[in-house]
Amino acid sequence: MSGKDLRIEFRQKQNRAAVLNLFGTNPNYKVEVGQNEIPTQMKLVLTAGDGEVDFSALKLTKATIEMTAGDLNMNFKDSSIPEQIDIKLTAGDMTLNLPKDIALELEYNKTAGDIKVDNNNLKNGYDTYTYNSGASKKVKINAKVTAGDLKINFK
Amino acid sequence: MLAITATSNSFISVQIKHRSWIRFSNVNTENDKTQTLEVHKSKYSDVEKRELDLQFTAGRFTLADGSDAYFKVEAKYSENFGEP
Repeated sequence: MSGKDLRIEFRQKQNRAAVLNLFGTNPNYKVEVGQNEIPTQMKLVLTAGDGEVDFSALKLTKATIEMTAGDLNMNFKDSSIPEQIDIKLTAGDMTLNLPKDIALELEYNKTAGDIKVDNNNLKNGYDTYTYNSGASKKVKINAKVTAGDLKINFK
Repeated sequence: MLAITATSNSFISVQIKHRSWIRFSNVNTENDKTQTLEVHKSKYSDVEKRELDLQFTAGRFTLADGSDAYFKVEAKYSENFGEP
């Protein structure tokens, strides 16, 4: 990492009582990423809970999403579409909403659960799937789904 | 501006690495219900690339662009389970 890179790590830590819900904890985080013109790489790990991601202007170069449980809804609009998205889904529900006029190159490996792209249910195993291949802007998605549901929609 | 965010039952840790320095880590407040952390441009003025590494283990979060800050998080703790 060079001197002009900024790396920010955010970790949520819960004490034992909170994990067991003894005191009914239910934290809520509102995270904002500004200075949108700065090229940004993001790794997002969700082990439980609910998340809503909504990027419309951020210059996202790469996104890595790992999820072992919970419910995650992600919306990427035109200027924030990264060139590559890596997804590892062990369980839970993940929905990815992309712009209609973008090309998708999906490479996936699915053991169980569902992968639906534009309402097409993809088969188990290793395979690739392309959508809207003539479009000028493209996103490449590498997805490994052990269980859970991954939906990729175009809106 | 660099404030600190955490709640009594929901500790967070934030590390900011810039020019090989770790500026901040292991934040843990007392009993405040809501606090805000902001990593602002005035303190880190020469950033050309940004790397975010975020981990959530419970509760709810929203993540969006829009702030002036490089990174801003507002944390709330609710005593009533099931209510945000």
